Amino acid sequence: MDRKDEIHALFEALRQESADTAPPEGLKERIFARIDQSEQALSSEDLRAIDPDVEPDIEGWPVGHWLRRETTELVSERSSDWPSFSESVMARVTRAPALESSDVLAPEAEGVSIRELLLDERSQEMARMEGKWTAFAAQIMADLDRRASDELDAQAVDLLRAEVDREMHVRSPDFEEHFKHEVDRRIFNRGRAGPSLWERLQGWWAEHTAYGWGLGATAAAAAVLVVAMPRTPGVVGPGTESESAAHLSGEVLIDAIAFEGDVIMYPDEGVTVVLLSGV
Amino acid sequence: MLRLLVTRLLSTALVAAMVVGGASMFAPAQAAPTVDVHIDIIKGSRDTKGFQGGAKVFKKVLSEMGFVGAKTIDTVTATKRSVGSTIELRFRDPGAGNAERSIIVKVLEASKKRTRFHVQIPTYRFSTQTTHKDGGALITGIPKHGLFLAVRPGS
Repeated sequence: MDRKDEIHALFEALRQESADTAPPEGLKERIFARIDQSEQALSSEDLRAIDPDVEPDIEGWPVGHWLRRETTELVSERSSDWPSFSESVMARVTRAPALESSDVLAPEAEGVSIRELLLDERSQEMARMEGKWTAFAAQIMADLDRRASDELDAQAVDLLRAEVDREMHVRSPDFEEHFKHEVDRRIFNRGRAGPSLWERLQGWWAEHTAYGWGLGATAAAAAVLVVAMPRTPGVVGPGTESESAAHLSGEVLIDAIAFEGDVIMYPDEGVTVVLLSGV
Repeated sequence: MLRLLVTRLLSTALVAAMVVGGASMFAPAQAAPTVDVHIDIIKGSRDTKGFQGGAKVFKKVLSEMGFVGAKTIDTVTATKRSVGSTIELRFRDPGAGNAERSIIVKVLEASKKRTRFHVQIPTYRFSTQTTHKDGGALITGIPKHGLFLAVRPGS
């Protein structure tokens, strides 16, 4: 009896003896283990020896169906450990015997080996997990983790330094703006408050101390001159009694005269009268 | 420190200049001769009696012209005017509706014995050159307005 017939006979016996239920846990492991043992014939005795309680649960379950389901569930469970699972599946697929049985396997799997089934399942699962998690990304992360553990401190310092430099470059105008605003605010408050009394005295003293001796000397000299200066009459304006004599004296001679009209001139005591007519 | 030193030097120089200038006032006068110039604007009246203010000096002359009274409506005395200086007095002529007039006197010569003036009344296009000896007054009159302008040197 070849292997195919053995498997067929095994599952036929199982189908007859048990209801159509899901296979128990651990079966897949045992089936995988049995598949690995490709050189050994798979008999009912062998299967019962592996798991005596399995027989009632796998009735009507073709091997291919089981394999597909088990692979799907296993992939879902081990999605976080895909690399190791993938390796284990590939290892098992590599070792899986090229079993061919249209009776044992699912009708759609006719002429397809278990290895190909597993590969198909694997590719379908990989497509389903596309974008969510990939082996390549996992490998990259693993390398990063391995590298990060060695120089984590140096990387952290470099990252922080770069971050600080970038922030300083971006925010430097704000610092200048803040500085200018602060200066303006202080000048404004200073101008509004005004100098204190002591500050004003200090400013006055600093401004006038240098001229102190000069002012004193000039004031003294001015005082001396004012006291000693004789009185001299200035220009006397209208409304005041000008210095006039009680009578006129002297004489006035007319050297030249110019007028567009008639002129009458006559001398008198101390005066010369010139009368203009035709004005 | 430098500022203090410069300031003190300037102050000292100023004091010295004032002292010298004050001393020069007591020095014998060797400057150019000067003369005081008196200008009186007199309004004569044939109705109102009485000669007031500076018009009293010219009472005799005005009375001879038939004025019973007169008063000084404006006067100016320019002291120590040197040769070449000009004195201008603006006044209002009551006889011409208080129109503004002016008389300009220029000193041509100034000495103790003799003084020469150039007197000008631009509005009336009148000008004359006079020589005053021992004082003496020039009276330029407009009888129609009763206005008399008297110019005389002072001591």
